[in-house]
Parts: sequence; C-alpha cells; structure tokens
Amino acid sequence: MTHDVVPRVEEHRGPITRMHLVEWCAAENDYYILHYDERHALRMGFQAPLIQGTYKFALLGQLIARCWPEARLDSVSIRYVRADSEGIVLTLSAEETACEEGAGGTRRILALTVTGEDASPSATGEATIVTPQT
Amino acid sequence: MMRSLKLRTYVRNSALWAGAVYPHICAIHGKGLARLRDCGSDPAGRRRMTGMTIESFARDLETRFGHKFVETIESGRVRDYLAALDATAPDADRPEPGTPVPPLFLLTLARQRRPHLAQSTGGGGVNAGDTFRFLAEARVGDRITVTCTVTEIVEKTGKRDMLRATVHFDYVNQHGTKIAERDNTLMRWATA
Repeated sequence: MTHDVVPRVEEHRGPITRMHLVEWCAAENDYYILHYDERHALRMGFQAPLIQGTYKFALLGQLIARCWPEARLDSVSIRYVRADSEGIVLTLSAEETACEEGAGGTRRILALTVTGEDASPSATGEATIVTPQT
Repeated sequence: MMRSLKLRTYVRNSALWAGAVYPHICAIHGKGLARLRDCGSDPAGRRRMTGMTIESFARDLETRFGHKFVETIESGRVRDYLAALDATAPDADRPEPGTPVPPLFLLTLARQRRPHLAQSTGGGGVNAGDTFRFLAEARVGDRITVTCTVTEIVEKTGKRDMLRATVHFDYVNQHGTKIAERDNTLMRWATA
C-alpha cells in the first residue's frame, strides 16, 4: 500500500563559522587542516576553509531524527557535489519520495539536499527509514 | 600480455605500486593494500601527477586506514557530537551507558588526524561521498572494531587530474555483531 508523501521539511543552519568547523573537528576526532587554516585552503585552490562534508551529513542525520522520531535509519548516502566555504548559511532539506508498508513496518525513502550560497545543492543524498508497526 | 607481465613484476616488487594506470582504473582489493588488480602501464610509461602519485595516495590511505581501530563509544564523545550539532547543550548530562547513539555518530570512529602531524604527502583532498547501511544499534559503552579496506583507486582525468579512492568500513561490536558498513569516497589532486 502506498501512502501520501509528507511535505518537504527544511531548516536553515548558520552562518557556519570557523568555531563550528573547529568544534566539529573535535567532535569527529579529525583535525584536517583544510577546515581551519586559510593558507592551506588557498594552497588547495579554495578561497576559505571549507565546511566539512561530514558535518553537513550529520546535520541531515539530526534533521531526520527530529522529523521522523519513531523511525529507524536503515541506510543513508550522500554525495558532496560542491564545497561550501565557512561563513554561509546552510539550508537542509528532506523530502519523502516514496512510502510503502512492509513486514517490518512502514518504509520511507527520503531525498536529502544541502544548499549553500548557490541555488543548486552542494550535497545530495537519500535515506531509507523504517517506522515499526504499532 | 605485456600489461599483465608488468603488473606481476610491479606486484612482486611493491604491492603499493600504482603509478601507471590504463585504462585509468586501479582497483586495490583485499585487506590493506596487499594486492593490485586491473592495473596496466600507460603508453607514456609511469604516469605521475605533479607532487602526487597514485602510489603516494595509496600510501596515505594505508597510513590512515591500513589497520583495525578498536574504540569504545564514550558518553562524553556522544555528548560532544550532539553539542557540535546543536542537538544538546554543551553542559548537558552525559548519556547513560546503553543509550542508543545517533547512527551517524559512527562517522567519528576510525578517525585520528591531528593538527600537528603531517597529514598527507601533498596535494589537495576532499571527501566526495558516503554511504552507510545500518544493521543494528550502537550504544554508549559499546566497544566497536572498525576494519577499513581500500577497495578502489581510480584516476580521473579532465580539467583537473584527480584521484578517487573508495574505502570500505565494517563496524563490529563487542558481541561480534556487525552493526554497520560504510563506503567512503575521497578525492585527491595535485597542487601547484
């Protein structure tokens, strides 16, 4: 059985500052220099330190957990299309694209996007969540 | 035939060799960087990108991922993870042992780069993508063994020559239960 899809959920985070990036370095235990050293970012061809892809990914994970609190995350993928520099506001979104009942509960497919300064997403992904039958 | 012969020679001489790639694919299979397959020689000989080679990239990956990581999910780390995402207050109580952790907390395991250590042999690099499949919950206090395998290195030619690697992660808890797997894609390029 197929259900109507829920509306798209969206939230804005930021501006994402250097402090967020350094705090995320500590949280994920990875101090990759690209995310806090301007000289290194310039050497790599970027104008400023970049927001970690994993930070955007983890923010999407929290968005899913908040909007579908009863669901279990079955799988999730993300593709980092473009780099986002520090100082911008991120727009995170999750949109249900499919929903079906199964033996284990209701399975939903979510399309995920992160958008930075440009109109086109800087990251896109997909998640599958399962809500157990009550 | 010639390519195969050269490959066997290179493999015998150095399991890490990957300086020449034709047709731009060098898949690395098995644990760590033990074997190379589908590699051949470029007509121009060993191909190198300025300041970086596939070999040096492979060596970087071996340094970062070429061993098992065994880590305990500590409550303070979970609290810091949530605080960094503004999902909890920095001074919130630490979650109790046995509390399920956010699935993507697994991103924080098997990571070890420090600011004061040399981080690569040169070039630029970014994370290009991630795929997770979750099989069971991870909880505060779990002891997780993470096994990483470099599954592929591919040379991408274009406006900017790049190398793309895929690293596979298996997460197993203290009961021997596989709780998740991850495929992480990394891009690397030479800088001037």
